[in-house]
Amino acid sequence: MVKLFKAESGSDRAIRLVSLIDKKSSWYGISSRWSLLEVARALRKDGKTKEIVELDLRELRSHQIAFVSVSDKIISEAEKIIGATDLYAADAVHISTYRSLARRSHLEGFLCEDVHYNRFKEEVPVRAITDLEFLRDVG
Amino acid sequence: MTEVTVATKIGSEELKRIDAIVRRRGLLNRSDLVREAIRLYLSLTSLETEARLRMLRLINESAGVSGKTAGQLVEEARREEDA
Repeated sequence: MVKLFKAESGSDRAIRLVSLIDKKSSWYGISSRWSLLEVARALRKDGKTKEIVELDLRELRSHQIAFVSVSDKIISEAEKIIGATDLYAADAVHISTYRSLARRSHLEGFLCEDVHYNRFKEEVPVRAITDLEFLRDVG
Repeated sequence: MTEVTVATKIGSEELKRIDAIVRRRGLLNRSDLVREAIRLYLSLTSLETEARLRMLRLINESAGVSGKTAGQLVEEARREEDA
């Protein structure tokens, strides 16, 4: 999500993806509310002001992407993941969030950047953003 | 056109910045700046998603950049949280 606000490789693709999610009424995304904290932290580390960070977070909340709460159930599952893998706490929360919602919310995959594909592939059905057919022509 | 008055509270630091911008940009007064800011915000938020995100990216890029990629920033933050 931080890529949306950085002019770098893959940023156009991230913007197109969010734009498509908004356009297609049957499409939606789900992420953890933890993502908003991670985005805010990354933007602060990038040197953004409080006002810009708030503007960006407000923008993120305005799309067909739901940010779900980090429940006790999600935390408990994340603890188990951390105990069994070398993943970061945040990674474990994201995986746990996906697992807790995948069936009920009919999620088709866990979207992430291709560089993180290997980190998650044993845990969840990873879909690298670069592999999405409808984004192939976007830089 | 019906006009209404909307009141809001602004911190003293922001007020100083507002006054400086009013002088620099030759605006009539603080209200003139607020009206212009509202028009700008309404224009930005009414853009299609893709155009709006591109505008926001431009604003972000002009507001300080570390030279690090999004991936590097997130990784750093995660390592710090774990430590």
